[in-house]
Amino acid sequence: MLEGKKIMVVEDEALLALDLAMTMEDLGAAVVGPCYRLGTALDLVRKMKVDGAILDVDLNGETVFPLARYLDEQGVPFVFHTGRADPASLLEAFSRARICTKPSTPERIAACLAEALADADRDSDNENYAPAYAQDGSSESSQQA
Amino acid sequence: MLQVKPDPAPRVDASSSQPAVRHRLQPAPGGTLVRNAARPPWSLAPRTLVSLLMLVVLAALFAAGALTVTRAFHAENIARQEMTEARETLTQVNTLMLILYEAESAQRGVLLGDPAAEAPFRAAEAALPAAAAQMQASLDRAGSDLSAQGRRLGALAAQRMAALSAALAPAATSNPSPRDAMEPLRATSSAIRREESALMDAAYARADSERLRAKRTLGMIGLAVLGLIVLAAMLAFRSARSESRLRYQREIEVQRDRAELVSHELSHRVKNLFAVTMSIISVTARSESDPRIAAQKTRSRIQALARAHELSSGQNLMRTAPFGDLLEAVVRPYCPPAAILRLSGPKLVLPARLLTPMGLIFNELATNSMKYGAWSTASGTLTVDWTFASDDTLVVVWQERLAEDGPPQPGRDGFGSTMIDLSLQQAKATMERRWGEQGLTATLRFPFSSADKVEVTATGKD
Repeated sequence: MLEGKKIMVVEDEALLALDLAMTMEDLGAAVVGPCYRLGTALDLVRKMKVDGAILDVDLNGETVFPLARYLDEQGVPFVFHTGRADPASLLEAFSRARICTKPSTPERIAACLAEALADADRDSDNENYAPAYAQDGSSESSQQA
Repeated sequence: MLQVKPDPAPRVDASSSQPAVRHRLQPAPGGTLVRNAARPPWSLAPRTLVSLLMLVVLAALFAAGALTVTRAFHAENIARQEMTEARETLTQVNTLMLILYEAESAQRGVLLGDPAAEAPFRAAEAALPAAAAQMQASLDRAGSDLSAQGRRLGALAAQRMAALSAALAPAATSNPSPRDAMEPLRATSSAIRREESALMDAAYARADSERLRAKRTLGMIGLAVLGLIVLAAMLAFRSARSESRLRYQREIEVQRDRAELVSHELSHRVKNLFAVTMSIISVTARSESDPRIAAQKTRSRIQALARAHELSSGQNLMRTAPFGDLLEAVVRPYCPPAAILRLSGPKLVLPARLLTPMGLIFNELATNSMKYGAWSTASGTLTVDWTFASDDTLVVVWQERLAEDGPPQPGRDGFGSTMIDLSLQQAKATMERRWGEQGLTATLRFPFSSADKVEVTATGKD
């Protein structure tokens, strides 16, 4: 499912990042990163297109939201991997995001990401696809893009 | 074709990216602040209004007191003046009567053949009109009734004097009976005296009653002032009590928010540590084919993690531990009985983000030393010196001294090095390794950011 896909890994715990990266590679994906900091990840994702991403929410005092917004705008599916107490609140801002609470096995995260990728594929195949929020904010976001 | 997707609304901004608890820890919007904001600017606080009102009432009471005292003084002055006048009038009436008596006794002397008595009689006769006029002037001031009486007395006195004078004339035959002639004079002067006395008494009484009224009014004002003071004291006491209750409530709120924040932080950290532990297991298992060695390494790494994080628990959750304590906790357990571990450097409190990478780095260095370095021999020496450089960098020099000369051996533990490199990346740190004659010297540099709020105390450790 993830074979041949470019998957970005953003995680500030180095060992966790390594574990995730190794698991992705085992599944045949090409890992972009791992990135430990928001700035590095934003630079990378602007230079190259990725097919999916695994995002830790809190990165050394920063949050990953600017990157998540950017990926959302680009239509790139991603999974939040977080130890936050109220993970459901992330869905208010990112309705299409998947959430894996910490601790989750890399295999489970990979499965989550694969689902997200499949959803995104189906959405882009469907001509009539229009997200609920497309009507009011489209002009603003195209200016930003 | 790249599809430009619109931003989801509501947008996640910087403020909502923080945990919800952080907002509640912001300087709590105090009750007073909110109340002030809600009230229009021209209106006064209820307490100020009450104080102002009390001040006004107090001022009014003082003014009333001053007025009463002034009025009492004024009434007393008038009464005194009236008494003085009455006494003066009495004296003048007495003087008039005295002049008449003198004239009469002198005239009697002349009639009895004493020519020397002629002169006093004439003097009295001359003095009478002036004394009568003076008396009349005094009585005119007092009132019409007394004024008429005075005129009558003046006329009677003049009549009597004229009669006395006429009896001395050569043609006179008889002396009129002095007794009958003096009677109406005496009656009139007594009447005047009585009336003047009555006036004096009335003035006395008026002054007395005015004084009594002043006393009563002043007493009442005093009571009112006392009541006002008691009221003010009660209000002050009540407001102080409610203020202290408010302060106590706010204190409890702050404590509760802090406890909530700590519990959130703790839960976040525990989840993260479980995730890291799971990674240690899977990553170590990947690099070791022998399950026994894999298990041993996993144990040692988890233990290092546990020791590093043990320093940051309970009350120290948000502050975390001094660097020396971290080394002591992570490295000391590997030190063989005869070997030496020397730690020295300033006391430096680490930010929490460095606990995991530092714990893992120094754990790997210590295990390497035990396997290949200074502690692989029975009595090697490991010295760790650290300084905090001016560019906010922690510089750690890890120096191993082998007990006996031997060929220095770089570590062969491939994955241990990967682990160190990963943790260095996580901490943005660098490490420079040199193998000298006596063993490994590693220099590590940990840059601190301004957000880390580093505490450095000059006192050395050990």
